[in-house]
Amino acid sequence: MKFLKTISAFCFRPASLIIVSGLLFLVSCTLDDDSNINGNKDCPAGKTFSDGVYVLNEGNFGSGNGGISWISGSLQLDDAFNCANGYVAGDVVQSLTVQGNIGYLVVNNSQKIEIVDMNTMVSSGRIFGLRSPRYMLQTGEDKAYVTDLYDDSLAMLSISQRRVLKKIPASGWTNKMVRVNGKVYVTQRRSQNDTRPGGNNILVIDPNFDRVTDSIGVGKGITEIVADASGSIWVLTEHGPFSASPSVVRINTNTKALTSVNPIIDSLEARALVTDSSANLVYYINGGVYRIKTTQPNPAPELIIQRKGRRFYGLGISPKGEILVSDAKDYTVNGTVLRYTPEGVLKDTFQAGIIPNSFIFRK
Amino acid sequence: MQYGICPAYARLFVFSAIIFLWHFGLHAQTIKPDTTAEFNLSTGSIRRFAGFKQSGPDSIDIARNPAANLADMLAQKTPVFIRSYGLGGLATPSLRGTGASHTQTYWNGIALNSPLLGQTDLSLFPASGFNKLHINFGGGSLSYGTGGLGGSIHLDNSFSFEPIFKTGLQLTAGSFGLKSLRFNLASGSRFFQSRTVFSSRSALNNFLFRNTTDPAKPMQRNRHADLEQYSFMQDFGFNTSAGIITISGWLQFSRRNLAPPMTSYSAPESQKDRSARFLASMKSKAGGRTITAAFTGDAIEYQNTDARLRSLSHVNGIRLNGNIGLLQTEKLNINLGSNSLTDFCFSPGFSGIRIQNRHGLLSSANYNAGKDWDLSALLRQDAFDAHLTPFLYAFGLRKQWLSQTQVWQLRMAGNRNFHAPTLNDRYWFPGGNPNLKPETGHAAEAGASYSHNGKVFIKAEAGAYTSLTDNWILWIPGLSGFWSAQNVRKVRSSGLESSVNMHTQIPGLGEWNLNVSHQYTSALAVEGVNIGSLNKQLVYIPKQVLQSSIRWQSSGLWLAFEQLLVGKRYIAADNSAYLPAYLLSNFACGYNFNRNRIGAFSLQARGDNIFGQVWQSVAMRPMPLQSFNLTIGWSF
Repeated sequence: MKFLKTISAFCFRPASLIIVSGLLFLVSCTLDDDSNINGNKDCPAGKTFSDGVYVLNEGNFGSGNGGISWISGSLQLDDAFNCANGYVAGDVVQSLTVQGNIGYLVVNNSQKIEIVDMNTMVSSGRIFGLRSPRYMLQTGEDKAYVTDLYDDSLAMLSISQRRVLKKIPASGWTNKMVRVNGKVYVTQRRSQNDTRPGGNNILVIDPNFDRVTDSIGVGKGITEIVADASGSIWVLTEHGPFSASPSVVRINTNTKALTSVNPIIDSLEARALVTDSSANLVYYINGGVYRIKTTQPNPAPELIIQRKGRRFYGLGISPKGEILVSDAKDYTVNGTVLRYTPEGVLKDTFQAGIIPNSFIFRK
Repeated sequence: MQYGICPAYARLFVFSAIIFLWHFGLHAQTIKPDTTAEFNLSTGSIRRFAGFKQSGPDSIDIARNPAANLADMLAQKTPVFIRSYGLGGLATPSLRGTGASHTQTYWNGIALNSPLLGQTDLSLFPASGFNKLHINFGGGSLSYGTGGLGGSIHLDNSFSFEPIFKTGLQLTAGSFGLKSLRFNLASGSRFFQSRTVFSSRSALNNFLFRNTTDPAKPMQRNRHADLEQYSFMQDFGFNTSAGIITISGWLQFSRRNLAPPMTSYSAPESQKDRSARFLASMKSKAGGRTITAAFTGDAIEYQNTDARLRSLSHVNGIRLNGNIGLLQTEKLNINLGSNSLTDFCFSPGFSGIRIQNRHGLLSSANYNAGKDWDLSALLRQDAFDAHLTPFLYAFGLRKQWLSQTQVWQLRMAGNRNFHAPTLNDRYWFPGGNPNLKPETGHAAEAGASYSHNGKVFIKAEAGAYTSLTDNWILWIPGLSGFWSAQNVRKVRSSGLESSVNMHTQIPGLGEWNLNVSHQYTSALAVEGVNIGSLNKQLVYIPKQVLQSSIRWQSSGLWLAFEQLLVGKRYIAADNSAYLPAYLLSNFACGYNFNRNRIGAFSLQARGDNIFGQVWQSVAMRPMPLQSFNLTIGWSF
């Protein structure tokens, strides 16, 4: 056949073989996979993390470039989780809940919780069965709740079994939680195109029954919640109960009475409500960083750190009272962490990852 | 929009259009039929703009990879860099360091870029089915429309008006459930031509990849990436005494599941794309008078089951292109052209229906001083929703030195162009910014080429370009907490492009064709970014791209080997993180059996990434290792 003749004529000519063999030799190499997704370069073996602070870097949605930075004195590590485990934490590193030496790292768009040793950041397992997890709160000896963006429910976990035991129905986007006087208070948010019911209340859950037993209406789009030393709840809302502006609101959990402490009228960039270790001071970001003394009957917010063109995103108060605030810049490059004295005097700055959102202190 | 207001502009345009139509009608009566020339359906006023680079894959490469989509073909065979979200996922072009919306795509001169996003998803288009696929770089795109800061991709059909009956069928099956069919039928006479192309493609895309984001780093199958695509094109051509009349239609349907990133365990996304495009064109036999009217309709249905989101966007557009030759001599052609685009858009991102009008008038001249000199110039004024946009120009010259076997050529060109903000940039809620200015850029390029036509044909080209684009639009986090579109960045792109093509016939060793091309691209943000990103390479723009291919054929048997080397691409604006370089090697072979009374048959096989390079085009979006396909072809 002509076909076979043509093939043999080509294959058995020395020049053909030399040309083809030479080409294949030249090109048969492949390039090493030396990807550097999170910019990590130095990973010290067996590193332990004590006396410092973890910085959670959310990363960009869909990019898998979130991680955990470690800062201790003047030392820092770009991605402690990747260093310790050899893989990236996942997509949108949302929160880290600590119980003793165990950390529960909620990775939102990877639909998982990584269980890590807080001293080494080595992962010992994962919890799946979540749709879009946000925050975790331990609510019993072997029980924790996990809020969710899309699931219209909270997941109830068995900590020892590392699995979801049941879902607690709660229509809408459930977000941050706090436990006060045996009750769990859960904030509800609402995204722009979210047409689901809910999104305007603080849900009250009785952990004895694992169901929503009550709710408190506090404006619309409640993003943050903390409890002070007296047992009052402080929340940050996108639309306050007394005005359309974002507000910081104090709630008496016994009477459910609301007090709008600070209707924020000059900026919508209000976020990151935290307390100091005594829970007598509440801090939040509203462009700059503000502080409220919760022990005063009519507290007035005090601006302690000016914004100065930065995009403050995450906030944390160290056990020594130092104020750590992150600058997320344009959300596409590595952010920075600024450390201030309790009086608001800048001490030093550190580089973090992309969108640093919170701090976990290790003594 | 912050442009100079021109209340009289619309009237001026209508007046010009009437003059234009009258002019065309007057001359149409005097033209006699001409059956020899090939008539291209595209309607740019200068098809070959002197001085600007133009290139494209050759027809052999396209014919020998019938199952490829346009994105794959352009990535492998042209200087267009494709950013792909995995097999079947969104694939957008980048030319000369610009963004996806800065490359315009034209079907027979009709703009296809979505007015919502400003870009085209090239994974939806088949690579075969067009008579010609080519790229105009930089300002070479201006005679077709604005916005091609990087350039434009052209999918063109043409008629020859000779007696013809030609049909063919190609069936492909391959790895990951790939099934592809392409049928074409062309028939006609000196007065009438019909051309039909139908293609379909389906794939599971369930390839194996190593998931490095999982603790055990397992080999796992790509999930939720199956697709089916259908394309039907029909062209009719009528050769009348008044001129060439063409009527074309192109229907497309695509359904695909969108694979999640490697870091995600949930796979909630899917998308359906439907398009219907119709075009009617009349083109004079002489004098360069053409008028084209087209309708384009696109519907995109996106679904996310996790978010319980179903989003449906509709865009219907009317396109009117025209060109008249004001002066047509052997040496000098002066043309007056117009492009008019009206889009009616409905998107859940903004309330109600948005109507967007874009009109442009242009005048171009092409001076051909014998064989040695070519000069082209173009002036253009556009209006965007009744507001004047920046005045545009382009000029270019080409000088060549000819001998019997050698041609030396020098070229240089410059232009100003703009890219108007998209409807999403302007009106998306929240974050759209109706006060956006157009992105405006100046560009210049120069190059030289040498070709020798002896026993071995050699053509070597080298060129350089630079451009500065101001008011580059980015979505940035705003005070409201939502991201919003802003004119923030100034970008300088510059680069070097070179290529060598050799072709020879060696007695007893068949016909050889060798191509090597290289692009170096520097795309730096020089203003409007934070200090960490200043003068850093833009994300997902590789500095180095090297392409090579070698083809051999003899007595119906052919072999081809091609490689694509893409350098590392930064994925963070401050260049702190990157994706590694990758080298893809493909091999193809085939045999064309002798024609007999039932037609001619061919058999071809293809292997992509045959050395199993691990690679990602977009971070966390896995790409396949080796894949293979087999094609059986029949033509009559």
